[in-house]
Amino acid sequence: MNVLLLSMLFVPLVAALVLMTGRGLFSQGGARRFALIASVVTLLLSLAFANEFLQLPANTAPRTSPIQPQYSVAYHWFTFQKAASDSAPSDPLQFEFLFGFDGISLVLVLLTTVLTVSGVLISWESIRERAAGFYACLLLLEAGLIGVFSAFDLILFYVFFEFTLVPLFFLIGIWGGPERRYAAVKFFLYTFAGSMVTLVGLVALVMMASAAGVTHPTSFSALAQWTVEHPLPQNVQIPLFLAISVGFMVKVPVFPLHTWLPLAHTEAPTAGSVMLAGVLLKLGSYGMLRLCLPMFPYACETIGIPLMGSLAVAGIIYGSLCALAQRDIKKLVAYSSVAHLGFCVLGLFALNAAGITGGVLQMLNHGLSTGALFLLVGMVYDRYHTRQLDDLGGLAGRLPLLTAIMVFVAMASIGLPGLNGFVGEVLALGGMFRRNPLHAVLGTSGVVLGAWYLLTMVQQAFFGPLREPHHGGEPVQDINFREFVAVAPICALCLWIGVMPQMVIDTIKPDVDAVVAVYEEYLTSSERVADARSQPAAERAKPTVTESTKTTSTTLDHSRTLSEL
Amino acid sequence: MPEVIEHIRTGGLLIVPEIILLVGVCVLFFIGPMLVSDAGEARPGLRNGWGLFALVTLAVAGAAWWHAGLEPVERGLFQADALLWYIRGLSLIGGALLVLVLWTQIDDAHSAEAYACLLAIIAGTSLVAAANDLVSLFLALELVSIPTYVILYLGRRDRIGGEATLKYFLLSIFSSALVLYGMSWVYGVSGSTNFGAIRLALDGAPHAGEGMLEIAFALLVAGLCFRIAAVPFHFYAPDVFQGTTASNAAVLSLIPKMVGFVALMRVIPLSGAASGGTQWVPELDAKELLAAIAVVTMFVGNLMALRQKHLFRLMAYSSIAHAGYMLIGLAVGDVLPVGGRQAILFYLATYGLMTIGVFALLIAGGGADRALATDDDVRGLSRSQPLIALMLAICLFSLTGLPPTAGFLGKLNLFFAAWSDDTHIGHGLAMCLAINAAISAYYYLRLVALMFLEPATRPDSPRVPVAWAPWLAGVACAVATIALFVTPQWLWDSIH
Repeated sequence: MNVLLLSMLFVPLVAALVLMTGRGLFSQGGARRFALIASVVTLLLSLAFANEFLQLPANTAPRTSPIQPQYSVAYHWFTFQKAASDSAPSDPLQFEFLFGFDGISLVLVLLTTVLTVSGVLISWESIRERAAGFYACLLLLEAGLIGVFSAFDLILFYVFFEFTLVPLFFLIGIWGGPERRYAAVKFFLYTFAGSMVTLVGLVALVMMASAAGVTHPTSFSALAQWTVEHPLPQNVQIPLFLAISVGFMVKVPVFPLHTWLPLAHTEAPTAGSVMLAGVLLKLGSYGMLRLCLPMFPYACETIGIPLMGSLAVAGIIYGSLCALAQRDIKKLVAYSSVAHLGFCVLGLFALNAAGITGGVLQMLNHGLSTGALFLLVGMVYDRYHTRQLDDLGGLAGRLPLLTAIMVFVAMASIGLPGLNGFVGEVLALGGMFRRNPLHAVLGTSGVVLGAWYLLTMVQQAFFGPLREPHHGGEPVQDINFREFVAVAPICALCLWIGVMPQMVIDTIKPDVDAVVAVYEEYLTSSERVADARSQPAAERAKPTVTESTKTTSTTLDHSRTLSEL
Repeated sequence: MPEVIEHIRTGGLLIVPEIILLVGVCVLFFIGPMLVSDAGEARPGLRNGWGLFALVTLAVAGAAWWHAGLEPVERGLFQADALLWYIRGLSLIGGALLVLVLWTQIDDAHSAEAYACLLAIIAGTSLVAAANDLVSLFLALELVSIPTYVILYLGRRDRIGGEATLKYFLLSIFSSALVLYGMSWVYGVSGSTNFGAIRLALDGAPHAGEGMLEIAFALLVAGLCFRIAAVPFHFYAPDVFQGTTASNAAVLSLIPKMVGFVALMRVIPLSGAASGGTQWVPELDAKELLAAIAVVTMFVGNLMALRQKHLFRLMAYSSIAHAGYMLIGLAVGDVLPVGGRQAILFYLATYGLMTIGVFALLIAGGGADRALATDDDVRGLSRSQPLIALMLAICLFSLTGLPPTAGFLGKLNLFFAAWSDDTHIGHGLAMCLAINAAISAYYYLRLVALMFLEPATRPDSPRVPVAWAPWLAGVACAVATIALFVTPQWLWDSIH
């Protein structure tokens, strides 16, 4: 398994380096064939890895930490030695190349490897200039993303998290649309600034853990275990939670930090958009799931639900309305991402099993359906060199198969029951409803709006009287075999998750349950505190109970009654 | 008297590598002029010979360094400890890179003198770390300064070069005077110039010279902050960088910083501004002062760099900003678990790699005579010289502090060091570092964008032949930047 894991990381990396250094040796065709082979090999490796992973014996031992990889491998990286004169008993601060896997990371790695193959296939014809460099960046991005999802060391996670900026910067900046330079620079600076704030928060967290004598203060599981056993003081949790969230909020992106996204999406080449929407945006929500939820229960309960919840709802509504107003299909899809990621954040910050499961599913679903939407928009653009709704109409007559797939994917994205989007949205909204019905109800309006803008788009561009922009003499061909291979597996996955979500849910269940356990523990303890407060004698004994704890627990009681109904 | 001679003899044993370098300097100075005709003309290719000679000298000195003992010794004027071992290795390796960078930047007739100056500067850098006496410390500082004036003038002998040299000369003299004045206050309080004796005198009478030592500390910090180009002693840097050759700018961006920081590490505990002997942390006053300088330096450097169009000037402001980052380590001192001094030393190595790499690649990309120096020169570089552009991008990303480069680890160490000092000052410094890293991303990224995202200014210009020596240095730096990210442990261990 170690070999599989490492080769999954190194195959794209080495292939990218070969393409980069030997770019003179590759013709355009050679480069893309080489990239295709590398990405398919990586996909096969990841499937083989998943197969091995699912056959691992179930972990029956009681969990000690909310984040526990079922499989992990560590290599030494960097130890800060204590000075000789120091006699403090704690261990030296140590970073490791610690790779691990649990259900959530497995699902997201598979998403990455599938979408990369599609990305290579869709760029086949459209990338003519500096092809070797293009595929090198794409493969570097894949390696970075696999790294993020398999890193179980805080610093290593951050390293991969930041590293993904570089290849995407070049993908957008070199091979993008007319405003590519501005888009690339804005994307880079925006996310880099956000993640610097995150870094300060992470450093502070690690130093606290180290001072408290945690053995590997940078490992996810040790950190999470420590924060569960010794909850951080409330006045520490809130600033740390806010600082660490900033970088992830930019990445998700949570309204109002989303302004870099539509531009970057619109200007990126198709493969870049697919990777950006499909996988990169998940880094933000994944980071929250790994670093914010298990470590800061108090902060998540007190400010996480109101703040993140309302921002997510604002994002859902605002993103949907913006999508409705777009005349450029790609921009429309980009704004729909803002809305869909809102569901994801809403689900995560419901802080219960349904919500978090829904959030994770929504990450996967959005990656698949929006990835496929971008692929299809790219195909239309390759044929007509426009994405304006005003220029297009009635394409169903010309491109029947493409239209059929488009309708299918749009339905998946809207959340039609039986397709993948439905499962994630229902779970996320249902989870939130138990916590804060208002957020859930407002969020549901996003589903309606989503149907509105996507169906409007489909209707205007693909149905009605034929309206084609002027293009070169040859008649436009329907989707060809290569494009079909790029998009078909994604559609199949959409259908499969829609019909049988249980398999994915079962894969991620143990990890979600472990995080939820933190909150059950937290709630019972705060209820105890609240009970104690209601008894006058105990009140005198515990005069320091804060008002806020009480309010939280009462709202929760309320929501529990609701759920029992 | 025999005792003094004995001291000099045994003290000399501690600085064998520097003596080897200085022998090389003598050879270059004495034999060099003989190979140049009276009209000032030399055989073409002479500079290659002298360059090789300088490399060989560095290699011999390196062998002596490698075989020297590691146990701490103090003898008279000099001492040997882990810091010396580390700084000596760093300056020798940096010196070898700088020799390669200088290779094409000097004409044949003046090559001997230029290499001699460079070797003297490198010897001086190690001697600063080896000094165990205020006198030897000052001599070592001057052994760095005086050849720097000469090498600045040798590189570019037009009016602008002359102005840059003069500016550096006058301000450097001024800073030396400040350092000397500060040392005299220390001597006045302690009655000795030897580090050990000063420590003893101050420990024996903790309140001796109260007030006077503060003056000494302020003067020493002021004088040495000139070397590291910290605000408000930074004014010379942009003009001098712009007015001199790329190789000299590379020397100036690294060597004075090493010298300044090592000297500060040695003298701060002596001026009573720190507590704790060899593992010292600055007293509160000193910490506030250093932290204030650090914050102002970072902000000024980064904000001024935003608008620069001349690359050397930009790198000058960037070097100011990096001085600010490193000052964080000095402000927090030897804290646990991650020491500020160690963080500085680690950062010096990574900073040396990235900054020498940038200048080397600018030279290599420019061809035989001139380095790439303006925005227009690097625009579209990835089309004309893809490999150089790629390596340059790696160095620039490293300066930004982006993984997977050594620059990221350098900044990470500083973050941890700042947070190890668990006070408001430490936390504030870490936040300032984060803000500044974000600001600096703008101008480094702008260069990368120019190279990769823009079409070339002159697409039809002929391909210039690559100067192989700077090219080699640049590629080595860029590769080492990545390699150091993957295996940083040996460097961190060698600091201890």
